[in-house]
Amino acid sequence: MLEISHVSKNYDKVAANKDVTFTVPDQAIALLVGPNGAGKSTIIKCVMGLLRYEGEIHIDGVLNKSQEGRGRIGYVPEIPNLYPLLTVAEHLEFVARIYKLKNWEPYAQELLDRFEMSDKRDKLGSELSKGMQQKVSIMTAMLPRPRFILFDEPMVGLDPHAIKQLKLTFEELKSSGTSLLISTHILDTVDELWDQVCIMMDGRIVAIAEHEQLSAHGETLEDLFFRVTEPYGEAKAAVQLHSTPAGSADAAESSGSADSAESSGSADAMGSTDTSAGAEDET
Amino acid sequence: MNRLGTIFRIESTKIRKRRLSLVFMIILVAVGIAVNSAMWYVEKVLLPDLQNRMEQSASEAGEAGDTGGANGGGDVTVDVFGEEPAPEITYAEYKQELESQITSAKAALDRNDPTASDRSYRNLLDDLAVVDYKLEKGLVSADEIVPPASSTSGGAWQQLASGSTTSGQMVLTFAIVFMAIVMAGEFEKGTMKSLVIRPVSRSAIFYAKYLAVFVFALFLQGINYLVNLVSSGILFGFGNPTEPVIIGLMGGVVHLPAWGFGLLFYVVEVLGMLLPLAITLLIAVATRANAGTIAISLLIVYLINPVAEQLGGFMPGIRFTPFVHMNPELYLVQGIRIDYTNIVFTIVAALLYTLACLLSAQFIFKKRDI
Repeated sequence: MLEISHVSKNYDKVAANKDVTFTVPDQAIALLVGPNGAGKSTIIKCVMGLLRYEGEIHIDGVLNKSQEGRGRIGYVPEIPNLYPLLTVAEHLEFVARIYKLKNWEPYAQELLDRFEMSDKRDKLGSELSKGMQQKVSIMTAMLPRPRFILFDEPMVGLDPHAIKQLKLTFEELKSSGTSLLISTHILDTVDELWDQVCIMMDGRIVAIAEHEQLSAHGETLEDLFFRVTEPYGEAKAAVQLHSTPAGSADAAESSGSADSAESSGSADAMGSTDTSAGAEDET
Repeated sequence: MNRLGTIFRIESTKIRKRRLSLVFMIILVAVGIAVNSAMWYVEKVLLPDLQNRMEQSASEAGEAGDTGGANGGGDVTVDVFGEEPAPEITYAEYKQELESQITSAKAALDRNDPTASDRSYRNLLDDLAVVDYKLEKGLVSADEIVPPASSTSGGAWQQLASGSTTSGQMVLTFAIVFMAIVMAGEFEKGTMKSLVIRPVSRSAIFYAKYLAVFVFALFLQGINYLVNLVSSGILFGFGNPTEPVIIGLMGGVVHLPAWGFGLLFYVVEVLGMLLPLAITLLIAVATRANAGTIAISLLIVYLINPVAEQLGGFMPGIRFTPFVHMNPELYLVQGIRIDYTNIVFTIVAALLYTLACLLSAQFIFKKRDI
């Protein structure tokens, strides 16, 4: 579905993305995680065609920057960028027109109902709370029924009910054939949802793992994250803290994290294209 | 094209919904009424009063035995810089005076006299063309006195045709503010991102924004003209909309009814907005700063433009810069203002510079990261 091939992006002399390569398969929920400054936002902006970059990005076999490519992708930014002077209904209508949607009204109403925004349809963007703005942002991304949707920190600002609803929506989207890439740093909110995780650090993909593989080795997403993103000592401590309530260091070591943290944490050692290597090599 | 229409529509909606749009419209109406009222007060109250006092003083002086100079009708001087002649002069005398001044001006130009002015010479030719046309068509007789210049004497339609709309520059200022808001403002607020990720080309977004602001400027200018027509009509009378307006242009004459000339003036005036708005758009995509865009654009319109026009008399090369081609409508009422130019030259130059600014801005908009 989403193919990112050797994408590099420099801001002046600072390399924000270095030869990033990964694929999000069809009908999958992929996570993009990494510490602050890892380059997640940059690769998201590259996928959305907001930045110029080296390399290639394809959505469903079409270049992401082409009009066709952009027609196949939905985007929910971390900070909702609604037009303050347009109502919720006008936002939806604008999207419907720009994507040339037909008979879109019933689905728009369904989305409004699902996110409990029916009574807010005539509210201006500036009159909505941040959480409501986020809901509108999600609805406008979903309305064209794109093949691929990119969520950047989608849970931020949402109330528990909306988070629950959004998780259900993720599942529904997946079962309807849509692929999702969710960028987040709140790992526990998405722990049960994902099929694949891509961990970024220092502008590179340092680990790619599949949920089933990780579960088979008894490791959690959090374990993996800290193992590959933190130096040896910190990683060990973190794994102790988060994975073993009793504080047993053996638990961390038994998963092989002590030795592998050094190698996984280094982008050069891992390479940025090793699908699932982050999980498999460690065990 | 369809998507460009959608973006245009949404941009227009955003402009229409801004409270600032309403504020600008209210200001236009208020200023139009206020200025016409002030003109009415000056023309109908202050000037007659002043004239009465002057006549009274003159009669008192006459009674005192001071008979004054010996100015006769033939000694009346004529302001040749494109303005109406002083009163008490017949068309025949006016024509003679114009021919004499044309000969002098031509001779001065031929001997490269530093005081010679190309624009003065060609404005004289235009004035002569108008007098000849009026005499040939029998619209005036040779011994008829040339009426004094007054923008309001022919009523509201004539006033409109004379380009006396009071708020043309104000409309341009408002349009510049909106151009900055719809482009640089969207960069500042981050809403540009949610626009460019849609399946529509950046070029379509770019031109839709430009067109939306331009159409808004057309609308504001329409309000401006309407307010001036109605308010001056109420104060001075509407006059006859079909009364002819004759002006000299490029050595010939343009003969139109007052309403038609008003329409021509409107079209040329809004054409004149294309260039400043394109410059504003270029600054907006380059700086992405709302306030900076407004400040630089207004600096160009209100400082660099008039200074460049003043320099036009000394530096002929300045006619090739964009800064002297922002007011083509003034050629219709003030004649030629820059040496070696005319209205066609200015409109063509303005359109070329507009195109250059738009293409440059479009290139930047398409290529830069967002």
